[in-house]
Amino acid sequence: MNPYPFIHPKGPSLSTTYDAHDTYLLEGVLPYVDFIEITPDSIFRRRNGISEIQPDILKDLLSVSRDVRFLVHGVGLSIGSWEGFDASYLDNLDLLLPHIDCAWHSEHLGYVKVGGDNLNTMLAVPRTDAMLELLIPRIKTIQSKYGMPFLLEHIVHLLPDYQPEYSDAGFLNLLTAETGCGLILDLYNLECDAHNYGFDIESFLAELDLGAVREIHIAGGAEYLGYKLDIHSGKVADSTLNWTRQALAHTPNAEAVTYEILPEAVRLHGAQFVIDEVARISSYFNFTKHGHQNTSGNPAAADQNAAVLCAG
Amino acid sequence: MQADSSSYERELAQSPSLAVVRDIARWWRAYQLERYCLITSGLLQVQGDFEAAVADFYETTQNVPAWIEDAGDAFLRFIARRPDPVAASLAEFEAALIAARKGELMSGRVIDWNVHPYEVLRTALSQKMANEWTPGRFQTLVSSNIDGYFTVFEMN
Repeated sequence: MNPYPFIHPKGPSLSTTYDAHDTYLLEGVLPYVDFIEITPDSIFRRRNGISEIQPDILKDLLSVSRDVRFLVHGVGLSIGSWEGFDASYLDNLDLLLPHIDCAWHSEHLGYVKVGGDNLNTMLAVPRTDAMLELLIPRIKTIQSKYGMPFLLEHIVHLLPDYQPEYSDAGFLNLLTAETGCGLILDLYNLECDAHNYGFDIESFLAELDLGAVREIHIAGGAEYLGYKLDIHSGKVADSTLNWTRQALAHTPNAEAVTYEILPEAVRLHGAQFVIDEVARISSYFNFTKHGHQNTSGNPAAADQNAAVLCAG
Repeated sequence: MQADSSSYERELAQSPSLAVVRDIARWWRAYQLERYCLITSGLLQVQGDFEAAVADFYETTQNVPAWIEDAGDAFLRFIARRPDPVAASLAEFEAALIAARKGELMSGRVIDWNVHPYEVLRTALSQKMANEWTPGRFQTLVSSNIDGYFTVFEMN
């Protein structure tokens, strides 16, 4: 029996990031994707000390809600912070999720805050029993709160590991086995680790429970002082596409391959760059758009929301 | 455990990747503040003081918020308290302008200047240092209710 209740009979679909108001970009990628990845930390803003979804972006999302489903992928939860995760991230999820048909939500297995201070970067958690004791109840809390699949993404390790008690894959296997959460397999992150300190991608994939992988991330980045950085700023390298092809052959539950690009990089390269890259990736994997019947969302509510926003 | 922790700290301190991580954090902080506080950042950059000001802000401010709107406002308040009176006026002005553009400054805010505000704005936005700014007593009134959000008054 497959323990993962999310087998997609049609196989994986393409997905890409949409984090800044740009209808040309959205319309350009729409023929290729079944999912749009959105990051609450990017699409929310603060007004008078209160978080709100940027209305123009929400309007964009609602305008395509009959054609795609959404993958909510956060950066600000800081699930690995000793003092606890950032509850304000979940407040934003509470505001966002009623508006959209979200297939699943996800976060990074790392931390961005220490003692309340924002690090402005993300660090990997130690792979220890003490960390598992912190993480497992937090994951379960999130799962029970939202009643939809929750995925974790392994991140790059720029700093030396703190006395690891588990291998990278072994730690992820324990987390998924204990909680039933899914995984995002980020092949570009693995390539960064391989480049930066000789991480063995093949051994990692051989040890990882690939049945837990529901989404695959790919991206292109940059090098700095000889380090390959996970910065989502460019085209996907052939090596990343090759790893992805190999991984897809062993990830039966992978529903989405997401090409990630930062809004800052979209501004730098232009929307057409992203559209062309999405088209190239789609062609490389011979993906076909499955189409999407908005059954689990609420089209009437979406129309109502759109009407309110347009009026506003 | 104590010995283990200190050996890890030594390993970390000697790791060349620690400098890379610090640089990444510095980039993001500077990049976000530069985009949010465009005018004040522009002046500080012309003066060659932007990176130092950002580093100083993060070193001396506890729990800088993650939201750029909150962090940016805190940065402008920080610059407004620094000894450079022109940068201080500009930071106060930009904070008021941001609030006015959001529709949050209906009553208006008055900012005092000891040089001509337009000349400072030109320097900040063009990224070209003026030979000198015209000294004098000036005020800007910033409000959501003003077309273009501000008016300049010469007080002499």
